[in-house]
Amino acid sequence: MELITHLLEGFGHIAGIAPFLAIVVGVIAGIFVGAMPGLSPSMGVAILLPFTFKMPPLIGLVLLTAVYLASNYGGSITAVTINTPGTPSAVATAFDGYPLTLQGKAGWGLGVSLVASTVGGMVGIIILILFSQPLAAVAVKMHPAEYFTLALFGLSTVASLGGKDWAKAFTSALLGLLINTIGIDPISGVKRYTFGETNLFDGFDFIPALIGLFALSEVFSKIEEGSWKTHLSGEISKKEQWPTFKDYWKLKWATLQASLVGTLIGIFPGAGSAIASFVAYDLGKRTSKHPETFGKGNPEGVAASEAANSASVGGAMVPLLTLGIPGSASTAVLIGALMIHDLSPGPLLFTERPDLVYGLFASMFVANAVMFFLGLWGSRLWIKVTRVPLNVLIPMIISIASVGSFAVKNSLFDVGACFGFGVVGWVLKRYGYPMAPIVLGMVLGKLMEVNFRRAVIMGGYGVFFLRPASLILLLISIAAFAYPLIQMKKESRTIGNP
Amino acid sequence: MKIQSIDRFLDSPGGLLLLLAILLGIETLFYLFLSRKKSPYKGQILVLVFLVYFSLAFLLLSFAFPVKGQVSAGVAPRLWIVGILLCTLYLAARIKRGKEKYDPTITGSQLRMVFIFILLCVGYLAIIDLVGFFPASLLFLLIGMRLLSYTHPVGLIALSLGWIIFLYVVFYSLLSIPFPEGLLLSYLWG
Repeated sequence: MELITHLLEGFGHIAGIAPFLAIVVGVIAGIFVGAMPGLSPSMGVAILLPFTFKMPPLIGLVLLTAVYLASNYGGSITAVTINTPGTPSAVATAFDGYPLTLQGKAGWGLGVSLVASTVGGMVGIIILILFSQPLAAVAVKMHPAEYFTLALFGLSTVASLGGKDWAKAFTSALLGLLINTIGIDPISGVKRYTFGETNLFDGFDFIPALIGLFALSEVFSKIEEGSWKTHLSGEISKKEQWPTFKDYWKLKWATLQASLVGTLIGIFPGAGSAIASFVAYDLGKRTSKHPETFGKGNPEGVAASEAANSASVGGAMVPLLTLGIPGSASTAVLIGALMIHDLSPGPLLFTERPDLVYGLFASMFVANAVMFFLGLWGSRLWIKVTRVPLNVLIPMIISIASVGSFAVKNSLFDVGACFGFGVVGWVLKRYGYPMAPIVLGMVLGKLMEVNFRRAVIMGGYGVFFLRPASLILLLISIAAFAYPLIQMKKESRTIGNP
Repeated sequence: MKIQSIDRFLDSPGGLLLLLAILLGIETLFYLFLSRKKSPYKGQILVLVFLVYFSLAFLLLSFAFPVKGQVSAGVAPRLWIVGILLCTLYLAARIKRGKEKYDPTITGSQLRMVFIFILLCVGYLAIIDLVGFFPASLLFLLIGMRLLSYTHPVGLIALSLGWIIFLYVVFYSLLSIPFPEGLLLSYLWG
């Protein structure tokens, strides 16, 4: 009852022109930042942070949180329309979103991603409100061994991503993990594979690699196919297809499942929305009635990824507000915002400033709703991208890839790296090596290696088997790796294929 | 000591060039050999050769990492390298048994356009510092669209200029990202 009273008071605190305007501006900025490759959600939050200095604390936080929330949805727009995920968390959205566009169903991809993002966001906020304090207590007790096995579980999605070409998928993932070791070792400070190049001290930045592997490799493939005189969606359909309410209702379980997974993974500091979306996508595929259609334009895949990455926002706010521990880069910037307004995140914030905390919760609900309506209206615009002839779109994609890569660290080296990854990605794709596992390896590489080494330093190699949570995750990971392979072997024996 | 000094050399710009030159040589030899045998798996084998070479080179370099602490900096890379080598072994066995799909069929003209575009990207990157990011991007768009048979002259200029203006307003004016001005523009405007 007290919770409901606080929440209603929270809605009261944001009932006004200024908070509503802050939410709308934040959502628009967030969608834009999310959609643009090279601009990250944390960058969007950081850029708007100085504008909040003179604002009342609640309005400032409402604005920045709206940016963070909407940017996860924004990343899906370019992922679906031009196979260029705007954020790492939209990579899994592209697996089925882009094939939908190629089938002339971009409306489906955009519509499902919007609704799933909204539902996922709402679920994440509800869990945040109801369970923030007990969940935070669990998150903070995570041992490096458990973080390592959680990351290993994330990597197990490779087995189902690869399908029959599982060996090539594993090779891609291992390649991604190996590329991630380039740079200064985070534990010992040793320079690894830098070849005397200072630009490689931090390794290859993730965003240029992502843009190159996804967008540019696809661009080179399209050029090779010779299809540059057509449009992305082939024949232009006279009437764009949009999902109906019935179609969205069919995705309810996939969306809900992914929302819960996304929120839970978002709670663990450092896990992030990208891991949440991959794990939810994989789980969605395993529990689907038609797993063989994943990766070929199944809306369930889009729903799973988007619901999870939006729900992870609520999850990431749990350690932030309850313990002052940022769950992601964007929440790290939000801590800065709290400090600027002389507020200390932690358990006392709930008791000393319930107006702020519950006002923020209420604003997240409103921001999700605003994002839904703006997204609905905007989708009719974004879809026009698929009508642009490829001989115009291809050079534009390459130019935005270079802009996005440069914007990360203001370095032309990253632009070169992006083009290099594009060429490597095109060649590997030609011969059946999927791109997603490379990206997954790069996302999980540091998390896996650092926590593996920390765990061994703290407890020896046996620590992974001695800690119950770690052992359970390890066994689940092994099962998750092995199960799709065993299933495929059984199927090929039944069909009688060699 | 000798191995360490070899590793130290290889982990330098000169060493990188040497490694790339050796890779090019090995790939060329394999390409010529496989072309003679008319292997339907030419491309796949070349990719496997690249992966094995890359892994072995990185493995060799990992022995130069100083051993600090219980779990040194070389442990993780070696773990991934072993995995890659095992996977490539498996894939090579599949190719030997004829269980892999054949290479995609290609025509010279299809590949030619891809290589032209790759060269165009390299040229684009090369001239950014000279003429500035936005003029280089404008040139790239004009040439790129023309190469892909977009011939409408007004549309070509309007779309290219419009796109550059959009990028300029959003990324340079609004977000203050310091794109290179280029030597030419700096010289002209002082």
